[in-house]
Amino acid sequence: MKIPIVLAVAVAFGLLRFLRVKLLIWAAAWWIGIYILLRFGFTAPIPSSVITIYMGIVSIAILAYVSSSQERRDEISGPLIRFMTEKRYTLLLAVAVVAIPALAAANVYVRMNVSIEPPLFSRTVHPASPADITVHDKRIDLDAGENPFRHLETSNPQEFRKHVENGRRVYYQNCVFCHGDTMSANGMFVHGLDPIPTNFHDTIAQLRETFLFWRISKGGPGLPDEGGPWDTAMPAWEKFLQEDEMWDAVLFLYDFTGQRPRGREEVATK
Amino acid sequence: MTVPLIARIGALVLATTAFYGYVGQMVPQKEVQPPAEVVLKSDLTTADMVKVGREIMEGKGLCLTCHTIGKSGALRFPDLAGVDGRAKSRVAGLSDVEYFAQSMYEPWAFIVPGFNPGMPPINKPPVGLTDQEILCVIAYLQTLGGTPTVTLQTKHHYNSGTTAAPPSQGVSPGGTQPEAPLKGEKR
Amino acid sequence: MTNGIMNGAMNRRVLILLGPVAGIVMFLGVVWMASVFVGHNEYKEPYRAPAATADATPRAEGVAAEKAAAETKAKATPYTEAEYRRFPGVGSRVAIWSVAQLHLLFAAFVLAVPMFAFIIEVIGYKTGDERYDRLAHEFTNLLSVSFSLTATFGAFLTFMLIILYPKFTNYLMSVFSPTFLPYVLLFFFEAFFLYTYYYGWGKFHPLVHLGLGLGLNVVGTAIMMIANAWLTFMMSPRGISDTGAVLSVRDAIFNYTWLPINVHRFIANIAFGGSVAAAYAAFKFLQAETDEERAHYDWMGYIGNFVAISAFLPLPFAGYWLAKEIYAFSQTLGLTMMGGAFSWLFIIQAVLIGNLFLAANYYLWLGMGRVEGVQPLQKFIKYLLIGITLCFAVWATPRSIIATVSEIRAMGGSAHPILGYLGVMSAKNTAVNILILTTFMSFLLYRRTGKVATVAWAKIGHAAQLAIFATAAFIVIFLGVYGYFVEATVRIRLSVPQVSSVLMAMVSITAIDVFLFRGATRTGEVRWGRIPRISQYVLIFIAVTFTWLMGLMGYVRSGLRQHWHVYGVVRDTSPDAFTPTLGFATKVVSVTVLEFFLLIGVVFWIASLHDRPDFQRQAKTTRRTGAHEAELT
Repeated sequence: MKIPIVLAVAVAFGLLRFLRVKLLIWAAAWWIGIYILLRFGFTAPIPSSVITIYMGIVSIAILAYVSSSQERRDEISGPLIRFMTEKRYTLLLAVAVVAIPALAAANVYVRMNVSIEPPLFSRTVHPASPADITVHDKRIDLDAGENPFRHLETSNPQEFRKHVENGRRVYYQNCVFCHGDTMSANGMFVHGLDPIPTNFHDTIAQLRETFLFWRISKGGPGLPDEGGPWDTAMPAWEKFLQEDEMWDAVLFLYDFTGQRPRGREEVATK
Repeated sequence: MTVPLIARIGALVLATTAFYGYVGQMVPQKEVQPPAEVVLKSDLTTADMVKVGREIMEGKGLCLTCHTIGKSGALRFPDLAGVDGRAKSRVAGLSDVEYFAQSMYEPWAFIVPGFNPGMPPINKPPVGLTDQEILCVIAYLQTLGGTPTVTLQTKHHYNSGTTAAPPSQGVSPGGTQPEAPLKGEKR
Repeated sequence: MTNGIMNGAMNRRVLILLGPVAGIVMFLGVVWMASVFVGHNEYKEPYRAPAATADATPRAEGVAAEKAAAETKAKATPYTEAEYRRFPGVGSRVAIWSVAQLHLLFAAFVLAVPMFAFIIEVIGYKTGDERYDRLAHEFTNLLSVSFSLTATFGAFLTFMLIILYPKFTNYLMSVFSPTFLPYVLLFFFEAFFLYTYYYGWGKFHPLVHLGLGLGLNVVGTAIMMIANAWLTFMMSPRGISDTGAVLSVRDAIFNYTWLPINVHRFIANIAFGGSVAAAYAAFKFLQAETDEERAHYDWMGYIGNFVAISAFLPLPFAGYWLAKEIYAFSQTLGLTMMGGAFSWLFIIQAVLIGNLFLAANYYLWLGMGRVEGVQPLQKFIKYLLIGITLCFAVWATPRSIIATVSEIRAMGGSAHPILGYLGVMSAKNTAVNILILTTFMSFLLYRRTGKVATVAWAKIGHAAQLAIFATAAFIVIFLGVYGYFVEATVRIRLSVPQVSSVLMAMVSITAIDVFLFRGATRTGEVRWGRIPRISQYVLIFIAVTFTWLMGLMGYVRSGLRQHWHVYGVVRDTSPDAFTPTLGFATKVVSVTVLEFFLLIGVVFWIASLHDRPDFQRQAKTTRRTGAHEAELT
């Protein structure tokens, strides 16, 4: 939730309460308020298809409320009838008569005027890894394997820091351009990429280190079918980096983001 | 003059129906074609079988309606990622091919711990894959965490009697008729 | 409406003119809609002049040659048994779909009306209140015409089956051959009971008459159960071999989904019949000219709607049972329903059911206007409405969201971090349970308008009711949230305690309520007929929504089989074997619903032609007829 927007809506409602406005204004306020909350109030925006469903429901509910008793009906219809019948509103009425179809037309225009977008493919972001891969002629077991330097974390912290620092060097020489300074997928090349690079803050805690190693070493070309369509720009780093450098980079990713890798599961008994 | 009652009610009925009809147009529109009858060539290579097997799993076999590949969390059916590694050792005395065959011909013979039995026999209707098609599916399953070894001539417990592959006619190299909409959907 | 009374004669003349015009316009509208909707489905052979006639041959010769060629060809073709025949225009599937749905809607109505007419008559007999007896009789007014329409559509459906799907119909008839004669026999009994029940009203000893009503209901239910055996067999066949040979007719009848469909249909029929009867009352209310008439039809609409909603509340539970049996029969079938091609249908269903709940509550709130001194209760409406809206929104949240590429990028993946939690079954079960609880509260609130409890423990009683309600709501929500943290196998079982806590709450709160308001003082009388006219349109809206819902769910029940006539046994090889888009299906449902309402309009009209045996009414009718005659001369 975006706190400022939620607060702003709450304050606006408080103000309306304080002013003791009429039911008609309340109804409009609820509709607009909920729309603003749904449209702008969430950090991960809600797709417009869902907003349409919700606003449809809200519209029906508000209509039901304002017409659910004689007093409320009068309170709603009174101002509307006055607006439509009294002489002093004639000009405004004329404006409204023109504005309503104009708004509808504008809506049609906006809906038709969408930018061109590529078709949508559903892809699995983290497809299953193969049981083993071969990097630099060495077979690496992804199911049972471990980061060869992870054990240093407890046994030899100094040596471990060294590996992490080496990982930092590897990262800032190679990865930073896409994955970004803060590892939140905001590097300088990001605007040209689709799908966007991985945001390491979000996902790596659910993954095993060997999974990261697989993705780094084999890159986009090594993705299985369900990870497709093959359009990620991730290079296969095994062609540029040593095996140790890649393991170090993995250490650094977890170290920098403060995440812990997912432990090994008893695969055989699953 | 007021609007006559019957016209009002008619308008209400018409509007309500039209509204629901409109809601029906707003959801994704997908037409599902019945699975096409596909004839498999008898000389498919193992690599071709993998491709065909994958297509069968998505389409006619309906496998991926329930099973996932590479998903974790609360699942209703076993995930198939890396399944070959598990299939080799899961039931003592069964090779991976035998194990896969058993789980398709007699799915309730062995239930993966933690799951409920729910899979229908794949060689019987409504899914009703042929023996050859099941071999292709096995070939694909072997690529998940292993390397495929089966061919269309592979024997296992359930097809030991039959050897004859269906005649090959008018079949593309992939083993499927090119115009057959295997995925069974169009927009 | 004072204007209306002054210009009564004028208005009536206009009405007489406009009624048929409106009817014709509606009919044309329906035909137009139908042709637009199904027009692009029609296959048109592109016209091509045959090669033989394309050259310089004179036209007459060419036509003659073509005709002769066709004749010889027809003679040469040997007789073959057709597997399928095509229905002109819309195609076989749409034709049979529409006719079956119409048959079903009328059948549901004919089965349901005797049920609550019987119950109302029993109440009338027990209490000695004449009003109930008259009400029951008025409900049955609609029966005889509907009955003949049902039979007509049934015959139509049978002919269509034989003509369009001869091979499959033959198979079904051979499997169920022993059931058809009892079916016909029962139909005779049904006709006997129905007509004696209706025409014998007030002519027998009340107990004898009630006996006739009971017979009518028993026979009607039996007919429905036999027909259900045929259609559930198509969905979940049993008692046959893999190739379709009959092993046991008994097993074929008692298949997996037979009993749940019986129960589900039984309940749904009552809900549907109640809503259509309420729509009839609404129609009469809007037509009414005197306050007594208005009071009577307001009351009738209220009872009809009460019947509909009470039957509707347990319906989701029956639906769950049916779904469970479908899963038990075949996981594939179950997953096609909930996860595959039909998953979006359940979002449409959520919209419909949400609307039903909202409209039902709304009608109750409007009904509070009948009673004096309801102001203190009015303020609760706001909170009930918020609860309903929230539940409605949760229920209508799709599992897989439609979004554009840019929206998906902004969300950070195809699953929304918050909405993802609302789209799953846990959230939806919770929402529907809370919806049921809220609607129940609306009923309760309505019940106590204009009453004050006078028993000594009134305060404790109210507190206890509120506590039970809060506990049930808490249990439902707690289990709903808990469902996110456990395995699927556990999660599925959580819906049972959810449902049972809601049922327990409903039963115990009602029990307390009955004692709480025993001997309560009345602060205001219920004044039937004192309800805004819009409420009557709500009743009609509810009836249309129910009908549409039945059409939609009928489609999913039948469409679920996809390319099978009998699931897994008899394959559908006709050109219509594919599953159409939901948009197309909803169009067919819409057109069918409109056809139904056109026909039910005819039924209402014919019912209004009846002379009523009641003496008082006789007088009124004469007066009205007099007015008509005066106009005509």
